[in-house]
Parts: sequence; C-alpha cells; structure tokens
Amino acid sequence: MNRKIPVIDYGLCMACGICVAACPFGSLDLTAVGRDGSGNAFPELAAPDTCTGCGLCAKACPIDCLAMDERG
Amino acid sequence: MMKGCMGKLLFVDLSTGAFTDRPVDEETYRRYLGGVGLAARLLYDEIPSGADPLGPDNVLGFMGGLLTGTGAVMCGRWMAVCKSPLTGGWGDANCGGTLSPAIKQCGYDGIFFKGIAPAPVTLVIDAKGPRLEDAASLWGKDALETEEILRRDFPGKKRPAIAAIGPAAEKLSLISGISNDGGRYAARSGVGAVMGSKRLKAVVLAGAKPISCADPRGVKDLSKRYADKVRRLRLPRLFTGRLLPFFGRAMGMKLVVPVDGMLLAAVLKKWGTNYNNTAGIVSGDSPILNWRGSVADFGRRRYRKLNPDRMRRRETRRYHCYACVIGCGALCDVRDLTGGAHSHKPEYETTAAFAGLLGNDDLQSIYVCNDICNRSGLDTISAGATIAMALECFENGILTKADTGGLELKWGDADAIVRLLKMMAAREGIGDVLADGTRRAAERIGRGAERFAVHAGGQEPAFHDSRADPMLGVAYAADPTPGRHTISSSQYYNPSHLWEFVPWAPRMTKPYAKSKEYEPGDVEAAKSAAYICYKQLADASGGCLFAMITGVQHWRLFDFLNRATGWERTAVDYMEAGRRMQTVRQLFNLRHGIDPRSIVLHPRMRGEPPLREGPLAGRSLPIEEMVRGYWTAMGWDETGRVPDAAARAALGLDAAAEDKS
Amino acid sequence: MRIRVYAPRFADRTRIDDDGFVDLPSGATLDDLLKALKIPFRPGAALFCTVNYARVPRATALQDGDTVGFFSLVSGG
Repeated sequence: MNRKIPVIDYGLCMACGICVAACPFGSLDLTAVGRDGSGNAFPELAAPDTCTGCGLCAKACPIDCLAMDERG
Repeated sequence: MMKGCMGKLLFVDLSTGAFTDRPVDEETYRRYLGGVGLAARLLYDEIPSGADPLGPDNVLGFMGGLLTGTGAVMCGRWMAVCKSPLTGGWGDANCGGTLSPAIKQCGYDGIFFKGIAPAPVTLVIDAKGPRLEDAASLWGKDALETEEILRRDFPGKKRPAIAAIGPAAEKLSLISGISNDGGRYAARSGVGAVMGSKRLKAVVLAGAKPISCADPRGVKDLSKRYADKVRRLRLPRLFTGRLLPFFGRAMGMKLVVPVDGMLLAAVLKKWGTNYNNTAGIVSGDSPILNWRGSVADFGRRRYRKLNPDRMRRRETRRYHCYACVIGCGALCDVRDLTGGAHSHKPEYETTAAFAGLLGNDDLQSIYVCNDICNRSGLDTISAGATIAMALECFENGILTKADTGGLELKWGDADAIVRLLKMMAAREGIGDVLADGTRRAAERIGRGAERFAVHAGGQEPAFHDSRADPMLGVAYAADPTPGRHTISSSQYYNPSHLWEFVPWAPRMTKPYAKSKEYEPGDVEAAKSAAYICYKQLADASGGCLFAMITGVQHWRLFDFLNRATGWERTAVDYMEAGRRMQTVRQLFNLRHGIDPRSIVLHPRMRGEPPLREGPLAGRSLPIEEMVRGYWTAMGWDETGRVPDAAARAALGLDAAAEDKS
Repeated sequence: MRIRVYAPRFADRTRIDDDGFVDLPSGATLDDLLKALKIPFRPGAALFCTVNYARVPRATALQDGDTVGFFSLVSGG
C-alpha cells in the first residue's frame, strides 16, 4: 500500500511540537535528540504503524518543514 | 463566523459529577477574546463575592488561548484562573508545557470546575468525551509520579497532556501550583490549593478535535518570518557564561538605549532564563538576602558558582513548550542529587529564590530545592521568599530553635534550607506555619515578623528588583494579581515597539536617562497602561511573555489575531479589548472587597529606606504617585476604582441591556 | 541608504536619527557602520553584531532597510 508518511526537513525544523500535538494517533513524538548538537528534541515518526497518512501534521506545521511523501 | 475559537466552555460540577457545555457567542469573543480575559468576565459573574477561595463556590478554570492551535508560533501557553486564596482577589497563573492545545482539542476554550468532589478524582477527556475517574490511589503521590502513572495507564494512543497537583496543594498550601508535563508550573496565586480544595488530583486531556483558522497561509507566513529570525540568531562562541556579568553591568547603566528584543532569542536558546543567574546579581536585578542586600554581600567568588554554563552540563535535552521555536527550557539529569530521573531545570526565578535571596551559593542544593518544589507543588518564588523571611526572623530572635524543632536557620546554609523546604512541603512543624506564604506566616508568628515578610497584597514578588525598575513596581503594586514580574516593566516595554502599531503608546526610539523612569508623569503612566493592555492580549491569545519581549514588530500579535479569526480589527481596537480585560480583572478585586490602595509594596521593594550599597544604592520609588498615574491612564479614578460608566462598558452591561430591549 | 541600528550604550550616537536610523552611502559595509558609531575593537565588536538577525563578516555590504543589532540582555522572566 502506497500510503504517505511525514518527512521532516530537519534543516528547517525548530522542534516546536505542533506536528506532534496535531496527530490524532500519537504517531509522532519528540524523540530525535541530538541531531544537530543543539540538544533539541526533534519530532520523528516514533510509531509508524499507527500513521494513517492523514496529513494533519503537514497541515499544522507552522513553517512548512514537514511534507507527506511516499513510503520509501 | 469567526475562527480560532472552539465556541464553548465545559463546566464540571465536582459536587454532583455533572458536565455542562456552555456555548459562547461571537460578541463575547470579540470583547474578551479568550484565555484570562474571557475567564475573568465569566468568573466575575460565576464566583459570588465573599466566596471562600477554598470552598465549593470558587471556580477553577483551565484556559487555552485564542491563537493556540491556529499555527501562530509562541502561542502555546495555558492559564489557571480562580479566586486566589493567597491574595483574596483575582488569581491567574500562566504556564507553558503541553496543556493549552490539548484543552482546545477537547472541543473547549476552557474547562471550569466548581463544587468539591466527595472523594479525589481525575478529569479525563478523550474521543468519548469527559468523565471523572477515581483518584484515591493517586492522592498523596507527588505531581511528577502522578503524571507518570496516569500516562502509563492511559489506554489511548494519543499522548495525553496531563496537569496534576502534588501533596503541598492537597494540603492546601496557599503558595502551591499546578504541574504540567513533568514540572512546568502554573505556580502563582495559590491555584494549586484551589485544585486541592476541590479534591481534583489531575486533568488528563487526549482529544483530537481540529482547531480552525481563517487564513492558515497568512498565519504561517507570520510564523515563518519569526522562525527564520530565531533560526538565524546564534551567539558567538566567545560569548560564554563568564561574560554574562559584564553584560549585566551594562544593564544597570545610567542611560537606557533602544533594544531589538529579537536578539534575546539567541540568549534564551543557549541558557534559557538562567542567563540572568549572574548578570542579575551584578546589575542589581536580583534581590539579595531578602531584599536587604546587594552584590556587596554576594560577590563574584560566590555568584560565579551559579554560572549557567555549569547548569548546561547537566542538561540531557532542550525543552520547547508547544508552538515555541526558541526552546528556553531543558531537562536535566539529577539522579545523583535526588534519585529521580529527568527533571525540568531550575529556572532563573528558582535559582534566585534559593541562591542570592538566601545567601546560598551551593548550586547542587538549587537542583534539590527545585525538585522538592516540582514534586510537592510549592511555588519556587513564594517558597524561597518565605524561607528568606524565616532566616531573617531567626537571625533576629523572632524564631528560635524551639520554633524550628531544633533546626538552626542561617543565611547560606544549604542543608538547613533544604530541610526547611521539605518541612514546608509536608506542612510539618514550622513548615506548617510557612506553607501559606509570608503574610500568613507573619500573622501566625507575630513578634514583629511582618517586618521581614516581603510581599505585595499577600503575594511574594519575584526576583526582579522594583528599585531597579519603577514600572515593574507599578505592576507589583497595581496588577489585580500583585507581586508578579510577568505583567509589565521598563525592560519589557523598551523592546516592545508597540508605538509602531498603537499611536498612544509612547515611543522608545532614542536613549534617555534612567532617572526619568523614577519621575511620575503621563509618559510613564501611558507606558504602564500600554504594556498591561498588550499583556492582557497575550494572555487572551495564549502568547508567551518572551515572544512579547522580542517585540510586536516581530511577533505580530495584532496580525496573528486578524488572520486566525478572520476579524479585521485595528491594533487600537485590540488594545481597547486589552484595557477592557484588565478593567474586568480590577472589577473582580473590587467586587471581592479589595481596596486597591491597600496593596502596598513592602518598604524594601520601594526603597524605604534605600539600599546603601550596590548598584541600586540610593534608589527609591515614588510608587503611590506612579500607581495613581497608571490608574488614571486606564480610565479609573485616583483610588483605583472603576467609574460606573467604564465598569458597565467593560462588563458589556449596556450592550446586554440594548439586546434585551 | 537608511540602516536601522540598535547601538550599544558606549556607541557614538551622532549619526543615529531620532527614529533609530543611520544614513550611509550605498555600498557601505558593516565595518563602515561600526566606524561611524565609533565602536572600538571592531573585529571583536562585529562578533556580537547581527545584520538582519544573522552574524556576518565585517566586510559585508549593507542594503537599504537592513537592521543591525548588538547582543545584550533584557531582565525579566
């Protein structure tokens, strides 16, 4: 099944957590710590099996750094 | 039809277990927006005058902000509202964390509790709606453990946002607050005691309703521009914690210059509020030894131990409140100190409360005190201030070892401070006397203890010295929630750039002599009024104080509001809404019998007598005249009362009468 | 060109107008601005300087409407 999943541009992401809160299924979490040495905890698809591809996260991101993409 | 709001509030009657939805009409949102403003208007009617703040007639509210969840950055704050048991008047406490969007995702702009539950309960809201669950097994557990258990046992997939109280609030400490996300606190006004009095142990929110926005593209455009600036800002590596005292010295200079508040984001990204640990002592901002001392009593050899670079070494990760792109928070590893796992770091206020205020330079003990407060629920500001009073009372023989159960209280004795704090958290021995803050403690102790009870209207001021900033003194004395440092000050006003949007806000584009801030006049009064109106708008929107400080030319509050709601209002009109909300908060106090003139700053807060040493030597505040100036600028009279016509207008009574006719 | 400047206390403010702007010839660099404000130790000072919220080399040419600031502290919070 070619369901889309969220893909985050970590060069732009500011770890604000809006995408995590927008997800109705708890698929995203702020568990990607230490990506850039800043100590920030970035979002990642922590529970991929729960993701339905609804795209609410991408819609909610205030800085457009999250897009829905085909599963790799 | 406006967007951004949820259209209704939830009322929970804890005495009966009944849930009631209360719709809100657009006109009400237009007048009071959301957050504190909306709650104040509602509770003005709901809470009868004379209500016991710890009784069934008090109403405790949890408010999201009008902009929360619309894509507006920096708008993730939530507020607890009630009649304050600490001051007897309006109470509100502001907090970051994760609760604000969760409130709205349950379908409400706010959740209100009245009555008292017959046994401890937790409110849970998920896709099925609200329910009260038995919390007997949680009662007595600390706030962090409570949240862990609730999170572990929560059956749904969506990570719930949880707010909980600890044992100090259960024991009705008037200086206790409400925890969210493992130790972010709505700490002031004694909101924790109100929650405890209702036997409400926790609130667990796991809704997923969408939050509307009129112009999502337009809101995102503003958010992106703000985020871009924050992303670009980076301090030079040369700017280490050792430089902070030098910058602190610059803060205390005789000339005030225009500042671009946006650059503060770089400082906050690196150290959070702890940049002020050492800078504040050098500048005079941080009160020392219960407001009687200065850097002369707590010099470099001692304050350098509080260098925030040392605190960064304990950090395991940075922490952002919901919707924040700066991320001033952090989680720390304190297992060697408290045995506990990750803990939110001690903020500047907490550090100042247990360090300079008490003559204590033991940084480890600051972490321990922070942990005790976070778990028990004690407000770190009021707890530190009350301990300072106890130390000074002991020094003067007003308290003795007979009173303290043999504990010798000395300035700078970290072990004694920690032991005393534990006693306060548990309400044991002398801790029971101190657990309700300085004013109550002074009443119970007698023997002249009130000389050392530093408070304004019953609430202890935070650790920003009003002798350094008279406009801050006005906020300490005149806000309906006295003693709060997050309301208004010259330091906040100067970078605000309000004048670029609001013609009546005084311009701050040229340097001026610091001494001008100590001269009452129309300009100073207008600055206080303007900032306080702006503050009310931020509190209605869910906005963070740090976003306000970066400046409204960057964090474009007025534009965010229009684009999120679909309204087309001017900044002047929004500021009128801010004035209206502040007037309602003032009316609440008047209705509950508080004479505004009775809220007097402790003499040390107004420099009577002035300090003789340190950067604030010789400074005192013409506070009464400045407060009268602020009242006049708000359209009230010289006693702080609101004239009838202005009161009716603020409460919307004339409009309501027109509707009925 | 008009550059919006938030200068530190010790700067010479003769060239800053009442609205907080400095007039500079087009092509002027950040270093030229620091000279105009008589800020000492320009290489070091430039480290604490931002042009439109980013740190840039001293030789960077400024554009009309740029904002130049210096890191400082605000108390509160």
